[in-house]
Amino acid sequence: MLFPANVFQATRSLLHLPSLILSLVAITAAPYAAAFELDIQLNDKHGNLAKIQGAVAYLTPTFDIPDTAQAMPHSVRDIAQENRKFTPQISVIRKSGTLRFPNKDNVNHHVYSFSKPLAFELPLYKGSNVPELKAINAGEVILGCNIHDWMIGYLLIVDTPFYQQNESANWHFSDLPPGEYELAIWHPQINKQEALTQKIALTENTTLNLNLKLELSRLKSQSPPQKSVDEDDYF
Amino acid sequence: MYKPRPTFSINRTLRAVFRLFFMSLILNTVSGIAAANEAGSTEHSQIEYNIFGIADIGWATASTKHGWLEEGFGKTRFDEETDGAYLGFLGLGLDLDFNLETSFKLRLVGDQELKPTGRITEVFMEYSPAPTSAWKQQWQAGFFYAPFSLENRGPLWTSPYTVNISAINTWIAEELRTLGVQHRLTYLGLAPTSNSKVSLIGSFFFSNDPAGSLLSWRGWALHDLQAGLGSEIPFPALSNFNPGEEFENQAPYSKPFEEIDNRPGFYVGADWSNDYWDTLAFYHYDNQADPSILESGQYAWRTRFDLLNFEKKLPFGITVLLQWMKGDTRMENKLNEPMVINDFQSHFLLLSKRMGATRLSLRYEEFQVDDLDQTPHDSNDEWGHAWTLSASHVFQKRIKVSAEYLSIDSWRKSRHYWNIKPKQTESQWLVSARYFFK
Repeated sequence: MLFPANVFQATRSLLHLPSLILSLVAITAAPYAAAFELDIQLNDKHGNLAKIQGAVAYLTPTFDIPDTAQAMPHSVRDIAQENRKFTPQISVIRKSGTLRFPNKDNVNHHVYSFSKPLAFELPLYKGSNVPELKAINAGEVILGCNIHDWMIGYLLIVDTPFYQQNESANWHFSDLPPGEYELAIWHPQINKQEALTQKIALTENTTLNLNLKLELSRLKSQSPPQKSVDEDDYF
Repeated sequence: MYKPRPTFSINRTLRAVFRLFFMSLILNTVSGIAAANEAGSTEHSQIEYNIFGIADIGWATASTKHGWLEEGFGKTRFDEETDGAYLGFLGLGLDLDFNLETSFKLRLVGDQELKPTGRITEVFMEYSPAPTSAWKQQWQAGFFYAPFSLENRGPLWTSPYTVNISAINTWIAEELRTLGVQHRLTYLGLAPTSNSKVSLIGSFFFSNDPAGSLLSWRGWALHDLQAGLGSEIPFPALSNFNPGEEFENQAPYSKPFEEIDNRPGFYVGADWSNDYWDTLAFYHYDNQADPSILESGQYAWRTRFDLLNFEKKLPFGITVLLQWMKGDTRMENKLNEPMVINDFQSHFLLLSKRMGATRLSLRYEEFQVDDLDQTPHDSNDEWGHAWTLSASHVFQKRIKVSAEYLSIDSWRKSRHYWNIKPKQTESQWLVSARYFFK
């Protein structure tokens, strides 16, 4: 699977049930006086559903959200090293959440990031304990492996309980408290020149259609270059 | 006639220092293994080691009359006298990872063809810290191959494509090695979603002063042998090496990794990969040798070359490799009068397709040496081309069996001195079995 299900496709992702429940709780549990639904669809520049997997839609409220939402547990997110790839390649976590990096391979990895929100390096010896990391600042984090240069992972740290990652470019939020939000859509393939943020005032159930103006970038492949293929075959 | 003379020199002192350096490396290695064994766990900060190797045997039939290993003018490893069943080589590798950033690598190769029988082909430290910016650094120090070959990417510098490697890389295996430091600076990505990657490579090295002598006096060759520390590679038995002749003080072999003039050489290069090609690289090499110095039977040869490498995946799973090399080499007498001035050039195109464990490779190459000096009885003029067709299959990820045909047409003027026709066609069939172990 490309990325672990968050609040979407619950029926297909029973393996991720605990995190699903956490996420669902994060978005739906608060008994707001009034709550609305929000449906978002992202189209490419030709008007068709954008062909991206794992994009994140997140809503940052510009008002004080109820304590019940604020106090919700922060998520724990696993970014595994499996078959010399970051699995999932694209992840999202709420600020102050806990990231874990299980090494499922029979080789060592050396994961690092020099992105501003979360600069770190973690030696991940095969068969060792799973190190944890706090997602301290919000923003985009690009992950690399010092041993396998072709490995690349993307992580978004959001500062809001209202976020969703989906396998296709549409999102359904339910039970959002009324008020004004800043909506943003994030995916590494979306051109950085494209401002996919907008203010929305939620006073009723809403459906939004967003359109990309620019082509999507290529997703950086996580497959090893030809150079190491043969060597791997022998051993 | 060349006679080794024991004299004191800076050169010998340097060599002693290098020897000490390597001995300490090896001692470090042994104690490292002991420490790793004592600890006996995979906890962090333990030294990890990995020992692996290749045993190669085969059978060959060659049409060459008098091979270069027998001081003749042939271009292949085997000739009519030496073909048949053969012991190819035994290679051993040791990797010692002190942590995930620092490692020690030792490569040993043994065969019956070159002296010494067992030799160190590479021994070096590698340091590759986790990047803290978009620039990644990598350092290598010791004795190692420069990143010049596109073919030799297998364990122990073998080629996954063919048994006999191209003329360019054969020469690299014979006469070129870095005894020094190399720095690689890689820009990890022009954009997070782009597969574009650029590396800049720079190196200073010692002890590569005789490089160029084999290309001049023997010419290009195609085989699978690798020289190592202390290696002696035979020249053809040229009359100019006889007592009273022009090069009487030259040993009948090249010792390519000698320091003669105490001047460091350098190479610089850049390697660019992206979505459209896997490698587009350019290197410039200059051993900066003082060509007027002769020591311990070896001249220093001022050797320079440019190298262009290109690699791309084509449709139908075919990989294309292209290497192009052009350079010159120069050797003088004590009066700084040029004795040997040669331009050399070679290029090859290799197509390879892998179908699971089976691989088919086809290589065409051309090579040339242009003799520009007037020294009598020392023509180094040569040109030629070669075809190599190779099929291999890997059984159980352990044993690689290759069947290979090699055909070389070459013209070399100096064959004349031996009453051999300058133009020769050599062909060689071989079947090789390589056992990979660890």
